[in-house]
Amino acid sequence: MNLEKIREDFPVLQKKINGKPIIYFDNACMSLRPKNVVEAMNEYYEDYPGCAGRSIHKFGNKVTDKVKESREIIAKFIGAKKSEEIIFTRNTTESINLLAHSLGLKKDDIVLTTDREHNSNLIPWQVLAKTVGIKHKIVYSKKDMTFDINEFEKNVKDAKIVSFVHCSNLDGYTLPAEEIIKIAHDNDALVILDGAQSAPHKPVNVKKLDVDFFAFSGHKMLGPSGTGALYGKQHLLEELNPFMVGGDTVQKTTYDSCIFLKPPEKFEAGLQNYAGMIGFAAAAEYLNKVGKEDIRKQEIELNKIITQFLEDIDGSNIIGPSSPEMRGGIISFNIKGISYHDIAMMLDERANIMIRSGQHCVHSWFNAHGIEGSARVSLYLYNTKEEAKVFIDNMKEISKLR
Amino acid sequence: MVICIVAMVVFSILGIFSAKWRKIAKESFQCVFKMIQFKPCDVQLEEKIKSKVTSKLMKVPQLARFFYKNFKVISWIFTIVFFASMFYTIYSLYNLFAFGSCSPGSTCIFNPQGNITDQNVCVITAKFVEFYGQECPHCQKMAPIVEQVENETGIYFEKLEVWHNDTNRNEYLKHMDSVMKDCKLKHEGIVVPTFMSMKNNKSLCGEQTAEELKQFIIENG
Repeated sequence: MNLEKIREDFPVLQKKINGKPIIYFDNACMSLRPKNVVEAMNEYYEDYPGCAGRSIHKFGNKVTDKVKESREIIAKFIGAKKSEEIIFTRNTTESINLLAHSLGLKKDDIVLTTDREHNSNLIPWQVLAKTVGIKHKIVYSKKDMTFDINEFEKNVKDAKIVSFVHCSNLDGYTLPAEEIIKIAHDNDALVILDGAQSAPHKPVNVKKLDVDFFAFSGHKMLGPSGTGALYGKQHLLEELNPFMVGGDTVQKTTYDSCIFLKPPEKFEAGLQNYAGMIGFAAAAEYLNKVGKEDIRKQEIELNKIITQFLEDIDGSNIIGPSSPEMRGGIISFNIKGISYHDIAMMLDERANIMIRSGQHCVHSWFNAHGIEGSARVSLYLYNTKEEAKVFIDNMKEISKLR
Repeated sequence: MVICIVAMVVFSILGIFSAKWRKIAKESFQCVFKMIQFKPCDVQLEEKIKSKVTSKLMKVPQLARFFYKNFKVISWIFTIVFFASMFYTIYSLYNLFAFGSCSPGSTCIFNPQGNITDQNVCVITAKFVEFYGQECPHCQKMAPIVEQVENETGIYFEKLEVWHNDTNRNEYLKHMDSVMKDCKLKHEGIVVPTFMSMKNNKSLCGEQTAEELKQFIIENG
């Protein structure tokens, strides 16, 4: 992995603010974009700005082909069998909402999630519990913050849906997806995997995982903001009720009925974000070229450096498993006596180090554990050891405020 | 939380001159608005100010640490000082419009002809003395100034010569302690000219301007 070459692909990393370089450590929220993604989107706007799947003129045909090609790239990116199994959405949240509304869940159906779900995989089920009367159950982690497979086995027996986060944005921990999916299937439950943090950082193969649905976002994996996708096994997608309906979702309508198109069109209502889809695919291609295994190695190496430093600070606490290998590119931490928001703002003020602070949309976990929030460093392929060193130097100064 | 009040005023004023302060001025206004409604400030203004200032102070770690640890107390002090100075500013402006002076208690209108009926006419009851030396050049220089002040105020200085007149000299020496204190003298000795209020034994040594002399009369009359 040629880090120098990679960094050259990200124009924003060449810029300076107040004479200092930018250190972007907020990749779990949104990643930066390489030139090829921006160029692919610009190309759409400048060369063929038409509607896909409707118009039969030159622009229309070109964009239809490009969207088809993009869908194929995304399908290949996660190891899906067919491109028709990919539905473009705005983000992971929309993908999960689509499922929550389309699965046709009924009163007393059990949906199982974990105790560290992002709000996007928590609130849709809470709403269904109120409106439809489903039962939402939670599998709590073990004390060391790893997944409690025994607890899961006890709860999965009557579950209809098992919906869980693949890699947690709270602490970077990757759940044993294959094992969970196998147990769930043995108990006749469908499995939804929230892959917002796994798809960008580690090799994912939905076929190998045998997962039923896989939701992920483009903007966390070098893609344009407001892009995402939902993978679903084809026969399951065909059985699903439509979520949003309207333009381009139907084959035929009369004044009182309609015939829906097959997936994925059935779920992509209205004029779509074509530039976004094309940019999303360009991002996937970029990541394929670099190699996600190498990206993962690089993130863990940096995580080790930062973790080792933080562990030596008095009063520091890293959320999640102690081993950096188990936390990928995420270091969620607190330092006693210094507010996590203050840490984030001081790093930004002093050295343009951009990290996240707060509850990272996992409010439920923080509230259950009586922790107000945390500072979170989330790494990606363009982050370097030098940047980690600048972070450490600045944190040394900040930790003296205790 | 209280710091948002100070921030609102300070950044609003700075915002008039530079756009870069307007955002924070707006945030501090939002913060004050929330505070009035007894709601927590949701723009993290306090944290922003605390972090920005602490970051700047980190060149001196002890100072940064002191500021960070005591931010709440410091912001309260700032707020109290701010309100106190605002109160005095408003009070002074009121005095300026009502009495023609920011500090009417420390000044008044002299009425040598006795024809002014303003409530702020100086009421001087003290007897004033000027101790001088016959050949003292400073005293000679002061003579026309003293005369001018006397004409303008209607207050007269009894002139007591101390270089040749032993009685006057003894009179001066009786007040030596207060002269030393008021004129910050290191050793006992006769200083001329010395202006003195016999009401409170306050002294003023050396050459003065007419305004200084008038102020001395007001403050010690």
